[in-house]
Amino acid sequence: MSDRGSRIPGPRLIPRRLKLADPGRWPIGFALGVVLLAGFGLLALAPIVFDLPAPDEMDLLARLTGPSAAHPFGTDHLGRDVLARLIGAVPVSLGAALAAMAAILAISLPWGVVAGLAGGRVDAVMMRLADIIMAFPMLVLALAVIGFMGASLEASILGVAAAWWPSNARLVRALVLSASHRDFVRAAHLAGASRIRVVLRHVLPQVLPSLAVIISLETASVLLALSSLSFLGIGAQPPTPEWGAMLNEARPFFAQAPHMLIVPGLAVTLAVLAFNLVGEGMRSLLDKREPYRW
Amino acid sequence: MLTARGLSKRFHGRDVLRGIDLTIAPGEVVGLIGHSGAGKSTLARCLVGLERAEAGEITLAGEKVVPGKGNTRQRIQYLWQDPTQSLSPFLTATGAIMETLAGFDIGPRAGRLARAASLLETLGLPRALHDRRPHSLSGGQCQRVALARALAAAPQVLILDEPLSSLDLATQVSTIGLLREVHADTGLAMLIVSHDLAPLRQLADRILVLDASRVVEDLAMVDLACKAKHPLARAYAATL
Repeated sequence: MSDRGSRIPGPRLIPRRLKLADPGRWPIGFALGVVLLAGFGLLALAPIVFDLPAPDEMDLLARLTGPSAAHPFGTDHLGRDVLARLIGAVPVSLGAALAAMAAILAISLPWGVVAGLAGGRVDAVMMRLADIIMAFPMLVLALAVIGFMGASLEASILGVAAAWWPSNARLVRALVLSASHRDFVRAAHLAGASRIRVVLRHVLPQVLPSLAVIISLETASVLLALSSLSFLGIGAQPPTPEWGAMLNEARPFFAQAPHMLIVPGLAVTLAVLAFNLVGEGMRSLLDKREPYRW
Repeated sequence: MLTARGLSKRFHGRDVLRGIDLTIAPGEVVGLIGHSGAGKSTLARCLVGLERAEAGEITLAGEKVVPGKGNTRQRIQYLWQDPTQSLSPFLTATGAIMETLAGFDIGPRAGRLARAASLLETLGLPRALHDRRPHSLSGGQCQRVALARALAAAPQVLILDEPLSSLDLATQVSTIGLLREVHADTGLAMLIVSHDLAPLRQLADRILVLDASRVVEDLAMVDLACKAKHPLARAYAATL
């Protein structure tokens, strides 16, 4: 009893009654998105369970062969198993998208929170800086970073993060601004809560659900951008298996071996679709929630 | 106790407060009445620091203060018009009180939970409701939690902005009784903003009438009916 005396019952950042915890109430799109993402997760684990050929294992005698029992998705121009490369690309492509998203959030979240809460000149300066960066077309800015660092997957991740963070910072700022003007937030400050506590316990819990939706939708566009950069040859470099790079390698052989293009193309499409469906599903679920019962 | 001199405030080029002078003595309950848009809530919000007055000064116990800053935040507490919206949906009733006790470092840490429970019970919130969040409490119950939170800070002045306007009639009656009890027990100085004279008649020692951004009448409540000179004050007196 006495120990509990010093503890302040805090907000639940983890949903208590959110329908996310109840798959039976999921909208079909959201369920499909989750199943697709889970499927990609299982695919990434497949090499541990099954004896698959290495993604860069070449068999020059079996170049550009179509789907068969030995190579269910055929082989590429170097005789590499397309299925093995597709699976090998799951952690690379999705990992790159998640890493880029993490970098974007690492900048945009504190940037947006500080600008939204500080207001006045601090807000104006921070937002003008973001506006200046946003004035450049996103891909051009990403290309500039890659040009400076040299073509690589890491450079494309940083390039995309550099181009994408300002728009996300704007979104975070708008969410924080709206959240911090609620009566209960100002009341908490007057009632003695410190500034940090107000942010952590009253502002961020309001922002997080919307942020989760944004993250999911933005991850889809980041994945598409990274795949585009790899397709242009300035992202992941051969022989790294990556969906965009696989599409680039397949380009000259489209007529001869369409499976080389279709398989990674489908993977990118399904992954983008999965993130979009999950994002839209979360938005739908959160919009229907009872007030603050997440 | 709390004194304001020459408070002025403009919104969008329009004067909302013009040279307001106000004094609240220790233990005194002052009613602030006026039509909608007269500047009552703005004045209350300036006194607590939710709005910044463009001119004038505020002193508390003879010391010039900036409302909402430093220990003035604790010394002047505020009860919001809509208690449901002023309580965090992320905190239980107990959590709201605990936040104030911890924020102002009031009392020993180990005793805060018991203190919060005792305060809530004193204000008539049954123990079974202490772990509930605002959305599962009624307006009157939220008002009690909000009042308990304000009292937990052990303030010198309590400013109440239309404390009855969002409550039904029965709850208004019980809240008036509650405020009278609180005042009798604590001797707290209060400023009660209202557009309705009836509750102020039961609670206030003195009444300020605000019209067109100015204080047009400042009288003891008992003198309102016989000594009011301004037409608006006389109109209010006629409703008694």
